Amino acid sequence: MSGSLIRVAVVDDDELIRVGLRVILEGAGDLTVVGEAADGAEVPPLVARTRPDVLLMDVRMPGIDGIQATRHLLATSADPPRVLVVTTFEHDDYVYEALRAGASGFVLKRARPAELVEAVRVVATGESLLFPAAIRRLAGARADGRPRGDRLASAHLTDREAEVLRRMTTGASNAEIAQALHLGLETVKTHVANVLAKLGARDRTAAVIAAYESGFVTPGA
Amino acid sequence: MRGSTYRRGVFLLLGGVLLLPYALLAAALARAFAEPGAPRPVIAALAAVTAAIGLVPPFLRGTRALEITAARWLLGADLPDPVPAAEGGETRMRSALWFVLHLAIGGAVGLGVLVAVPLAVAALLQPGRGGLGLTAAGLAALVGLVFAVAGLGSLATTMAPVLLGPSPTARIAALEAQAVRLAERNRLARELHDSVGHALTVTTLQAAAARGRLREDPAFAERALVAIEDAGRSALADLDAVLGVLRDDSPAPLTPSRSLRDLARLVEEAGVPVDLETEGALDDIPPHVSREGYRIVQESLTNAMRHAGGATATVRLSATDEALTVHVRNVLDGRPGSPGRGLRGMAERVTLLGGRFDAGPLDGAWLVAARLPYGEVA
Repeated sequence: MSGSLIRVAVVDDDELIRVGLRVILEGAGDLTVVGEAADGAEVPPLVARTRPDVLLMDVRMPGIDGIQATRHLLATSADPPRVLVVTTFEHDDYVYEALRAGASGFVLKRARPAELVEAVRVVATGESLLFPAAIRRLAGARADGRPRGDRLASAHLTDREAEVLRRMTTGASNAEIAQALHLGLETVKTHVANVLAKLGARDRTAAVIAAYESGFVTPGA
Repeated sequence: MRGSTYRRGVFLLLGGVLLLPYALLAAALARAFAEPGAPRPVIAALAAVTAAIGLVPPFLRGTRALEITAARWLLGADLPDPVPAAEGGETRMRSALWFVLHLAIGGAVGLGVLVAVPLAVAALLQPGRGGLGLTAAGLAALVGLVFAVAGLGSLATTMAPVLLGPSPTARIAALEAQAVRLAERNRLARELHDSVGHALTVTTLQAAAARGRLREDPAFAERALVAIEDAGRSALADLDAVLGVLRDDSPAPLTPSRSLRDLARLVEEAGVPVDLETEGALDDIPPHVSREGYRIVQESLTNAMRHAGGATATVRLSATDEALTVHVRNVLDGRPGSPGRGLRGMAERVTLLGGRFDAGPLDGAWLVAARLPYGEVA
């Protein structure tokens, strides 16, 4: 089974947090913590050395913070790991910034062990959106009523793809979308891949954020 | 006679007392001047020097502070503490004018008391002596004096903020200082929130990790317990220190903040009859929502007591899965009054909690409606 282990690295400036996360994640059985770092500056060598699937990233760190580290990693690495932001406060302004910088999701450090483990699995597979309600709330708190850019208009989504994107924003998984739209799972996967490609989005989270920011869906709704 | 009139009378008489040395000095000088063969140029020079010295007290900062204190206690005037650094010439002129008026009116009132009281006493002790006219005059003088004192006292209360209050410049400076203070307190509160939040996160994570490894790795569990203990202790020390700074001017309450669990007592002590109806599990809603709900009901009932003249107030509370709604309704007795600081405070706090707040007259009643969402707990 070792082949299907999800490789995780933890970046947090507090050793107690790193140790806690490591013990909890390793307790799940299908996750293995392959490395740790205490600062955003250590992220590139850590990733190069350990090749993790998922990087748990604290937002506020002395030196290079989690947002900069995420942006840098995604811009420079050919096959970057997914970034899962770990945060003390959900209402942290920087959480949304980290998502905009390309993080695939976020999870509260106070989450129950099972929720933490599940968050890592969801981000690793990328088949559904993590905490859609929280992302909508964060986007809503940032919305100033003005759509930013016309990324969606210029993407020329088909009606079907637009419908799939709309459902992605609600947090529906591929299987749920398939069922709701009476489509095959593979068809949905194709639509999702097309949506991501047309939006230039790395993953579902990026696509959903683009959908909110362009006014394609309104966070307040 | 109301207590406030009595205290205002005392304030006016105080002016008379302050006038006394001036009056005595003036009288002495006048008498000396009028005496035959007096060295008039010398006396005139002396009078000029005395007048110059006498002009100093009205402009003194201490005099202003004294007048402000007296006006606060005896007139019930809403005056801020004097800020000597912010007192310009204009402020001093105003307060000197106040001082002079206080002495003049106080002298007149004192004179009135000296005349009217003996007259009235004589009239009461020996009614009819000296004719009914004199008795009537004595009583009229007393009644007139009371009215004059009430009127002048009320005038003084109105004028106190105008003449003793801070100048616009001083007021702006005070507001700016307060804004800085609030910003600082805000910053401290935010830092405390971060530090305690972090400590609780460490505690939660370490406890969760230790629980999972309790049997296989007791040594790790023990280390986790040490970390939890340390985090808790340092967070408490932080709370202690910062809260000590934050609550500098308001005394710490000895009782814990009240919440909707204390609703029964609130209704009992409301001072107006309350028709209370609740729906849902009020005891299970998040503590911060419960506290805010309690405060809204409390303030609304206080307003009802003030404006509804004893009519029954209706309180409806409903707790759903997502939010608490509060409705308080009371009949108006015709004067809705201006929305005070209380209403603004309520609206602000509800908005901060992401809720909705409405208050206003509707069909002859005053209605307060608030919706407080619990906030998602991820």
